[in-house]
Amino acid sequence: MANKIDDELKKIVSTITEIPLDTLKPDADFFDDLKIDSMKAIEIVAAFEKKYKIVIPEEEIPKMRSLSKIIAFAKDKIK
Amino acid sequence: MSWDIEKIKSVLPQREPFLFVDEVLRVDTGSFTVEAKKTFSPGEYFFKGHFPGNPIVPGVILIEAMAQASIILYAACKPEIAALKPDYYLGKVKSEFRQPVRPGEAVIMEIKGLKMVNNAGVGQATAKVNGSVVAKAEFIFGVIRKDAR
Repeated sequence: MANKIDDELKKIVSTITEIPLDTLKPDADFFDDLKIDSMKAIEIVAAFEKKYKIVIPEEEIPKMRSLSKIIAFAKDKIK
Repeated sequence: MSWDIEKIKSVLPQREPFLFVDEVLRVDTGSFTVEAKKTFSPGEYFFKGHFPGNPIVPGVILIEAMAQASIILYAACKPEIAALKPDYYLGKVKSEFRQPVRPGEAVIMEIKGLKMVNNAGVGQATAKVNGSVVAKAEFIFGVIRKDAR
């Protein structure tokens, strides 16, 4: 299950950011390293919520600055 | 609860001939949905050129109409932000068109909000004429407060 979530989230982020799967580093900062704008960031959050039918509180969104942080949040919520 | 044109104008910055919501039929902030209506009268400015002798509502106008309905949903869900009269701008649109919309036809747009936050919104829209889907779109739009520009 854990690896499945990793792969699914990586695909979501890769599709939205247009960063190839093989170059998407889990700890790369969305804003500083990957230069993702706020529109893409909210698109990632919306896709994540739709996929797993969970709601990410607005105050949590700024903390999700990398794929690894999204995965950690997902694993905490989807048990 | 429905909205009349004056309430619509209190939220949308667009004006005629670029105001494409006539009436809001239903607002449900619990399920993040809005149903809005636009009747494209035969006198709309774009029919003369799109196309001569074969008037059809341009797809970009349908997108704009659905985007305006999305702003209304955002304003209903985030009234404290909408009250500040922010700027709304489209960030991304994914759309498809199924059938042409002709002069005189009423388009019913249903907008479903996927995510509404203080600086952005994500929504899905379906536009129908007489119960048949004419267009669908997914939107991401930004919301910028004037004091944050």
